[in-house]
Amino acid sequence: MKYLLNLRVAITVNRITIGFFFFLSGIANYLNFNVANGFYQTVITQKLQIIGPGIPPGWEGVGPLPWLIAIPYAWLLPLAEILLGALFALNYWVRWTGLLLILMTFSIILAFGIIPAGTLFPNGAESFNKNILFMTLIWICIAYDAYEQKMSRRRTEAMANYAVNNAMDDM
Amino acid sequence: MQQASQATVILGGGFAGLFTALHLSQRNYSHPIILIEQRDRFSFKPLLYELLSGELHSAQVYPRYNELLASSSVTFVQDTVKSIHLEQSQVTVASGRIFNYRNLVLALGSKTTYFNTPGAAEYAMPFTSGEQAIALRKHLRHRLHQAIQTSDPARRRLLLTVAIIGAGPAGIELACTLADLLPIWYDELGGDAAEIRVVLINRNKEILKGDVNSHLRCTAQRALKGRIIPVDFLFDAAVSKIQADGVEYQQNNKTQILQAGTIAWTAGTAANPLLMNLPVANNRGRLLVTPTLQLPDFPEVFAAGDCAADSDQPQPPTAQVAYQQGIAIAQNIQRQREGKSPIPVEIKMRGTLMKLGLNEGVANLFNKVQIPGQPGHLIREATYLQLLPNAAHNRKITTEWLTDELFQRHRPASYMQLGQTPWLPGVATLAAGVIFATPLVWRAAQPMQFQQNLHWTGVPTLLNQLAPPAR
Repeated sequence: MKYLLNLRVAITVNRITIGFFFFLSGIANYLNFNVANGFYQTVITQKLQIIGPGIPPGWEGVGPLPWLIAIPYAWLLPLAEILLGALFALNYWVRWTGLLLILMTFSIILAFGIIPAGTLFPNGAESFNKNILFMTLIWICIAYDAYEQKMSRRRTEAMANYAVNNAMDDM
Repeated sequence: MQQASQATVILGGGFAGLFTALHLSQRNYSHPIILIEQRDRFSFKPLLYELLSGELHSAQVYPRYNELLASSSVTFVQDTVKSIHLEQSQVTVASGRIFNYRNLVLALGSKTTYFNTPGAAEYAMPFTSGEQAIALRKHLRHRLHQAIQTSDPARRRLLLTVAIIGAGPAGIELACTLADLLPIWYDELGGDAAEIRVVLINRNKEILKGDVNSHLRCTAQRALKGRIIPVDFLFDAAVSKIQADGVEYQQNNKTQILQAGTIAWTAGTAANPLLMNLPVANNRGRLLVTPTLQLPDFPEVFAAGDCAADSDQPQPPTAQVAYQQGIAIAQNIQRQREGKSPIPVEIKMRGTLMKLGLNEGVANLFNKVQIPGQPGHLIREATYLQLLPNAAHNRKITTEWLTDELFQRHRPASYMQLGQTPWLPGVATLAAGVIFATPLVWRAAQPMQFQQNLHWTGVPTLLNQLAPPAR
């Protein structure tokens, strides 16, 4: 239990999980690069949209991206996922690789829309990716709560010691 | 004892002396080679900071001469040179032995000088050999242990203050190393790392003044301030006295004292006193030599390293110069024995290298490109490890160092403690990622070609089971 409530362990597991998720995602994107509705076709044909597919006319978003941007993006994004995911999981340049992963995720959100495709709202469609990330993120919260409680106990002890010492000095 | 007069006697086992001996031996030199050195171990001076910090260990940068010379034809004599008689072609050592020579190589290096500062010889710790590096490490460890047991804040401050006298390259490299290392050591003992203080004391207002590294001044200054504990500067301060627990100095016509539990001395070197008595021309103790590194009046005598100077082509007293001079002397001695005339030495400076903390350095390649940080550190260590004497020792140590770097083993401090990312494993991961992604990109771009070319490996079948190709 002590091990599970260790903040460093929780963060390490999160970092490895998220990094590995991106690493696998990059591999999957290359494997499904050319299949119908696969990665390449999606990037070349999809519109940039805040609201996803199935939304009334006029809300489909803009795009698709011009070929000059879309083609390099399509070929390099999975590679970036593999490389950055590996670096992030193995704790190398985490600040920079993390920032790039956030930017990549944001670009994917823009490309596919927030609602309802990737969907932050429950829509009955199960999402493995989302659930596993939720699980590890919740663990961070639990471990941090344990850390805060420990700090709070230390502060209380320190205050009590201070009060005792002061009282001794006064005598 | 009378030695054969055909012998080549080499005095001093530093870079110049040791490399002369090893290269003569490698050239199948048919005459006796005798290396006389007072210590039993070779100090690889540029990497003494690594020995102090534990980044490299004694067997790597402070090896025994007997091990280094085991497979060579060099006879090692551990003794102190007492006198040199150039006219009689004789060298006398402390044990009373007399060595006659046909060729003599003077590579006695330099000695630490304290400029007659009272108390310096007694209380300041020099840093020029492996023995001194180990002594300094033990002293610092002892001071930290004393500090952790002390409840008196003033006493603790004294114990945790390190004064480094001299802001030349050695002083700066030592200050940077200690400003990273001591906070980690003290933290591991349970102390407050913020209490550590490293003070660099310099007579001038500028660091690296008049040094071959002077153009690295800005990089060095940034590094000194960017350590775990920033290094404090005490400049324009002339040290007048050294006590057991402090440094007395003059600054702005006032005498002041810096309380310090450790005082390291890197302020200066002087020529070996033996050389001052020789009947040959010298420049402040450095023997004046011809471009072939011979003494003008004694062509059978060569001099190199810190104790020699060619007035036409002055060279800085660095390891890379001494190393090249050693090789050149070996070549010239052999040419002389074959009746050929010696050839002038051409020193190729590859730039300068400095250590600027744990896992940090700067490589100034060919004095044109500055590579700071971890890449600079890796270039510096890889370059110096290539200069290790003896090819077998060199290969073994380089392999050990490379695997230690890659797998992050035997580190005095973790990268997390230093707030760094291991550069070499990071780049190795990137390279591995690119190699891993290459077949996937190939399959996406040219599925048919990929299937045909890699069919024998079974990889296309495996990938097809995961996701069938579209084209």
